[in-house]
This record gives sequence, C-alpha cells and structure tokens, in this order.
Amino acid sequence: MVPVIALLLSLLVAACGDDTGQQAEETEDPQDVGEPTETAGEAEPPEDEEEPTEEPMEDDALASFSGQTIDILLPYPGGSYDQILRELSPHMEEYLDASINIDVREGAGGLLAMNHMMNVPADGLTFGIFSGPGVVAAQLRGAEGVQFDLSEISYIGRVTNDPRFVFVGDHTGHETMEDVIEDTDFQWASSGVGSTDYLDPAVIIAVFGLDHEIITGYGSGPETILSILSEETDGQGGTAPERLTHVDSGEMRVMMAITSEPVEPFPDAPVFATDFGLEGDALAVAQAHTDLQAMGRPLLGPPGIPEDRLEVLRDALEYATAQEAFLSTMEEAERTVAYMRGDELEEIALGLLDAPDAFVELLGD
Amino acid sequence: MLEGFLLLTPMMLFWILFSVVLSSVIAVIPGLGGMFAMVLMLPLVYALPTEQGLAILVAALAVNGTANTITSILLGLPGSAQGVATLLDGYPMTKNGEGARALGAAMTASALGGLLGAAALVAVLPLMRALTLQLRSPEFFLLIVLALLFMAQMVRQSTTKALIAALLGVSLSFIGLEISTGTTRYTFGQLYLWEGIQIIPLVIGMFAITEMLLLLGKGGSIANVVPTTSARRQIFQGIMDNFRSWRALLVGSVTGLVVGVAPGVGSSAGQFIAYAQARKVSRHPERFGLGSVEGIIASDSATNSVDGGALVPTLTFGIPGSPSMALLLAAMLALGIPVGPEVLTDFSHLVWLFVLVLVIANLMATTLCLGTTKWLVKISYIRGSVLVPPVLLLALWGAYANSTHIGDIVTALVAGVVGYVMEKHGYPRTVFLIGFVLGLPLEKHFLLWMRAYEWSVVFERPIALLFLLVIVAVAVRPVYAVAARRLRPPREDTEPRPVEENKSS
Repeated sequence: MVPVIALLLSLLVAACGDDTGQQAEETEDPQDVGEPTETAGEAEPPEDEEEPTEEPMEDDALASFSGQTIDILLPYPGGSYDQILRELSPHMEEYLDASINIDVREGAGGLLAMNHMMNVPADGLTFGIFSGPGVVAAQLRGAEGVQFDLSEISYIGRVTNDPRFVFVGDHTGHETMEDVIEDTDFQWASSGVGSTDYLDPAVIIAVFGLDHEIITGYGSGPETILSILSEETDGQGGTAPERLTHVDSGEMRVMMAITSEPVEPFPDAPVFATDFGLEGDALAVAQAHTDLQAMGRPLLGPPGIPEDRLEVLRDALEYATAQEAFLSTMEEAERTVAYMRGDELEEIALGLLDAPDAFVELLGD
Repeated sequence: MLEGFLLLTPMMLFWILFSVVLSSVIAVIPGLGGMFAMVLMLPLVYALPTEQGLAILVAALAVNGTANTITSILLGLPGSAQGVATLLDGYPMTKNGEGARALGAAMTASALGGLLGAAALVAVLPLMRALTLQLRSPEFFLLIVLALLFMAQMVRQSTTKALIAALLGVSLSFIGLEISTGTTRYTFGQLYLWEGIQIIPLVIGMFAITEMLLLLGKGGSIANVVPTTSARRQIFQGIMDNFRSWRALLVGSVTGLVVGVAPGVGSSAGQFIAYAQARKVSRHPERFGLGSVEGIIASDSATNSVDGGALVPTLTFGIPGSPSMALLLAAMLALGIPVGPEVLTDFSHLVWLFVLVLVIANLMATTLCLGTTKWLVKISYIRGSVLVPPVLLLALWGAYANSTHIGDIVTALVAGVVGYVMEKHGYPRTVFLIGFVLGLPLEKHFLLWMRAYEWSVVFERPIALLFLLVIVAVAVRPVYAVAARRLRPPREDTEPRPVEENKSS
C-alpha cells in the first residue's frame, strides 16, 4: 500500500502545481512578418509622479492586481510561444505584483484556447498568447469552431513579430525570386492547410499567377525544413530563427522577404510588397498578407476588460518586453521582440476584417 | 570524449541525479510524462551554468522511457504515450505472477536501449546525418506497412475479429482535422476532436479501466498466480532475459534509433514497430500479447534508444525529433548554443556531455527503479476490491491530465466500456491499438509520397526498395507455403499399411 499512497500523494502535489501539457506536437509557428519595429522605450515601473488627475484611477487599477493570480492561456506548449511566455511572465509578475499561472490549453490550432477565453470573466485575470495571423485568418475564412469576434476582444499588445521569408533549398540552384517564379516544377513545403506556411505560398502563387504545387501535410515546421534539406521539396515560407543555420551553411537560400520593407536578418532580400511591381488586386492581396503577419504573437483578452485594467496590462507588457533579461534571451533565440500597444494592434486587426475578397478566398476552408 | 568527461564534476553528477529522481517520480504518474518534468526544471536550467542546465534536461529525457513503464506493467496504466506498448506483455506477466521479472526486464531494456542509442550517436553521428536525409515519406510508409504485416501475423484469435479490430483502430485514428486538406473528419462539431482521439485516455480506458472492470468481475488480485520464485530472483531473471533475448533487444534498439533519427513516424508508432518486428524474429511469437518478456524488451529498448537517435536531427539540423527535443532545442538556443553542423566541431564537448549524461542517467534511473521493484510489485497482490477504486481514480486523473479537457475523461470511460466488450467477445485490443497508432502516420506518409514523388520512385531509392522487397517476401511467404504444400506429392510412409505389415514392423 505504501507505493500507492506515495503515488496518490504525488498526484496531490502535482495537481497543485503548474499544469502543463506533455504531448506537445511541434506545430509550425504561425509566425509573423511585417515591420519588426523597435522595442518600445523604457516603460516606467509603477512609480509615477505626473498627471495627478489620472493617477488615482491607474494606481487603483494597478493595486487591484496585487496578490492576485493571473492565468495566461498557452495554446502551443513546448515551442517558441512557450519559451516567450515563460520569459515574459516573471517581468509581468514583477510589474503587477501578482503571480502568473501558465494554463496550457492546446488543441484545434489555438481555437480551443480562444473559445475558452471568450467565456472567462473579463477582469483582466485571464488572457492568452496567440498566433495573431492564425486567429485573424480563422475568423476571416469562417472556420468551423470559431466562437470569438475579433472586433470585441481586448487587445493587450503584441510581443514578438518574426519576419517571414521565402527559403529555397540549395539543390534548386535558384539565385533569385525570379528563378523561383520561372520554375514550373517548384514544390512548396507546408505543415498543413490553414497554417502560415501554407498561406505564404498560396498568396505568392496567386499574386504572381504561378502554377506551383504546395505539398502540405508534414505536420510541423521542422519536418518541412527536413523535406527541403532532403530535396523532397524545393522551398517554403518561414521565419528566420529555425532556418538561419541552414542559410549560413549554404543548404538554404533566402529569396524574398514577405514584408512591406527590408528587415533583418536579411535586409538585402527583395521585399514582397514593393520590389516586384505589384499593382491593383495583386498589391492589395500582398499588402493584406503582410498586414496579417504584422499581428505577430499578441496577448489577447476576453471582451469587456475594464479600460483601466486593460491599460495596466498594456503597461505591464510594455515593461516586460523592455527588460534587458527578456531582450537578451530573445536575442539569443533570434526572436524579434516587437512590442506594439494593444490599441495600435486593434487597428490592424479591425483593418484586416475588411481584407479584399481575393485574399479571404486564399485563406480557404 | 575526454572533454565530455572533464565536465562530469561532483556538482554535475548531483544535478543529474536530482533530475533522474524528480523525473522518475513524475514519469510514474500517469498522464504527466517527461515533458512535464522538463518544463518544471526549466527555471533551474537557466539559473545554473550552461552545461549543468542542459545536463538536467538530457537526464530527464533519458529517464522518461524508464520509470513510465512501472504503472504500465503493474496496473496496465501507461505513464505516458511511450509506455503503451510495454503493457501489452507487461501487464499479462503481472497477472501471471511475474511482475517483478517484467519490471526487471523492462528497466534493463530501457538502460541497454539508452546505452545503445548513445553509443550509436557517438559511433555514427556523421553518417546519421546522411541517414536522416535518406529516410523520407516512401521509406516511412513502407516501414509502417511492414510493421502492419508483422502485426497481422500476431493474430491468434479469429482472423475476422482481428481484422475488424484492426480496421476499427485505423478508422478511429482518422477522426480529427486532416492537415493536408484542412478537413475535419467525424468531429461532430466538437473542437476537442480536432486533435483526434487522444492516445493516453484511449489506452487508459481500453486497458486500465477495462482490466479493473474485469478484475472486479473475477475477484482476487491482479496477479492470480502465486509466484514460485522470489521477487529478487525474478528481477535477476528479468535482467538476464535481456541477454538471452538479444534479438529483441537489438531489434528494439535499432528500430528506436532509426525512428528517432528521422522524425516523421513518432516515438509512439516506433515502439509498436519495434514490437511487431521483435515478434517476427522471436522463436516464440505465439507468446506475444500473453506475457512475452521479448515484447517488453523490444518496446522498452526502442523507447529509450529513440532519445539517442532524436538527438541527431536536433543537434545537426536544429530539427527536434520529439516534443521533448523541441524543449531541449529551445533551451539550447536560449543559452546561446547554435545548432547545426558546427555543433559537432565548435561544441563537441557538449555533444560528448549529452552522450555521457544519457549513459549515466539511464544507469541511475534503472538502478533506482530496480531498487524499488521488490516493493512496487506487491501492488499486484492487493485485493481487487481495495485496489480498483484508487486505480480508477488514478486512471481518470491520468486521462484528464493529458490535456485538461473533460473530453479525455469521456474518452477513457467510453474506451473502458468498449474494451470490456471487446475482451468479452474475443476482439483483440492489442491489434486495435496498433491499428490506431499506425493508421494516421500510414496515411500521412502515403499522401506525402504521392504528392511529392511519382509512385515509381521506390525503385530509385535503395532503402525503400529494400523495404518493398521484404514486404513482398513476407506477404508472399504464407501463400507460397500453402501452394508448396498442395503441390508436394503425398509421402509414401504416410499411406496406411495393411495390418500384418504393421505387426511385423
């Protein structure tokens, strides 16, 4: 009986501890492109002296978080979202004087977590980190299972925004994006329909009027990379961190930045929205796609968080993303910290809800 | 290698032991698994010196495939997805009063599989990189077909019932979001089902809950045979089984290594492939599923050797071979260690450290688990009326811990009832489970093969062609045997002789 009691005691201890999942299948990070804006300036720690007429409300709102437990939903355990959130949390805890519990809610590409968030109290004590492009695309295409409305949710802010590029395998011999466009047998690798690495080639094919094939169903970003290295496929859209070593070793090459302007770490790569003479509908679709990527990895909350508490959360995020420890960890992981305040992010999201029909059709279902 | 040894300071060994103990305790608890232990230790990883932090993670990786088999064997309750295949023979052995032998065999196989995986990592790392690139969708598809063929030959019961069970398992695996088309299949509008039927609650229900229901029905304890040898002697017997059944050990270790090297099949499927192949080379294949120690050895050695293999794509490509590897990779990048070909030259001391940690952690975990086996095995002799309630509670908690969704509990309960019915009517649950685990990877790699290549590419790829030839040989062999028997002329000495001739002989 002793081992059974020990097991049950362990069960009790574990149940009281951090609740993280363990079956995390590494899905392709539906990562983001666009303007990797500079990190925000130093956010003020909670002590402030100006504007006495607003202070009492802000202080009250900030004080209301003190000693509280905040649940941050994590739809994608084990990957970059997990890492970012765990690096971010201690700094937000410091600012808010609260404790943060990471609540893993994986499933349905993040929709389970989003839908769960729509039903929690709008007190600012529960919110989540999501794939901005993923949730916007899901709503735009009317995906089955969507129970949220991006025009109603609370936008805390964007944390990171890794630019996306077109990578091709060295075996293709392609030197420029024009070579890719002219290659009628080009095969793109994608982890799955609906993922960002599917949308990249789908938009490129539509914009340039190509007859390329998208080989989809790999299930994860790493597998798509392996498919290129093994010459099973020819190229893909993706972010830099996971592919930088392969570019440096010459196994992969960068053809284009799927952005609106030159970005690191490949500032010399031609820019999708500006360097290919796109006009009319093609330009509108390209711009919509880059705007979609600009959503990045945001913190989003349920509809109706009181404005003062929402502002406190935005300040906390701004503070956390400005901390040297967080910035250096992200730099070592080659993640682009690109803080954007929630109200600005909301403008982008609402603008995307009016995306051109041609773009929405590409999102498919 | 010397540079790796130089990193093994007393403090390093302390942290490895710490990780082994903590990970072992967590791995035993159903539904948690190695990832949970690794995540718990992440803050420590970043606080310690780089080498010690990474050693903690690698040690946790190594242990996950060891301790998680304890509940699989003793209670039919898998500690994680990596402990599923072990219960197919481990739990029957416990029922036969050989639980200690099963644990001894499993722990030793875990250690030896881990050691072989580490040795292979060292010996053939440069070659492994090339192998990783050679194993693509055609090879994976044919490998899985081969495993299914071997599985088909495991059938002892009615072929029709086995076929139904297998098809049911494969069909169930297709529930969920089909990623290559974005189509949901049989989800009935439930988001929970987008990820498909989860294997942990399914196995918990179909094996643990079913077995507890059966135990309540028959009475007594799990072990219904009084052992004729002591637990200590059985443990030793289990250890020695690994050397007597070296074929199963070799097949399991090599299979795990190959599965780990080339991500695309998954460690859950890999343990079943190893299981099926071990049955093929066994001298007593009829015992598989009834309490064959070879089945345990094959699946457990595969589970642990997969870690050594999975380090290959993780270190040389920056491509994690499993979710645990993804966490290790993230930690390495956060600590400023690049991954890629240069890790073998610029950070060779870390590569050697990982190898040594895999060896040491496997040995520590095995020693720890074997040391507690004598007491753990007593669980199997507890009266069912006492044991069943806490085990059911543990089972449901383990199912819920999978993804903290109520759907997991429902899955476990339904699977428990279905498993009970299957058992009562002679439909093999083992065959069902193997079909379930291999169904989705089979479809995935078939579709990728057909999309990325021409079907005839199999004749241009040596490894795929080899697999195909083996498949043909295995598939044709029974037909050939039947045809040969029919064509063979009847032997003269089998003809009945007259009575007087019989008397004279």
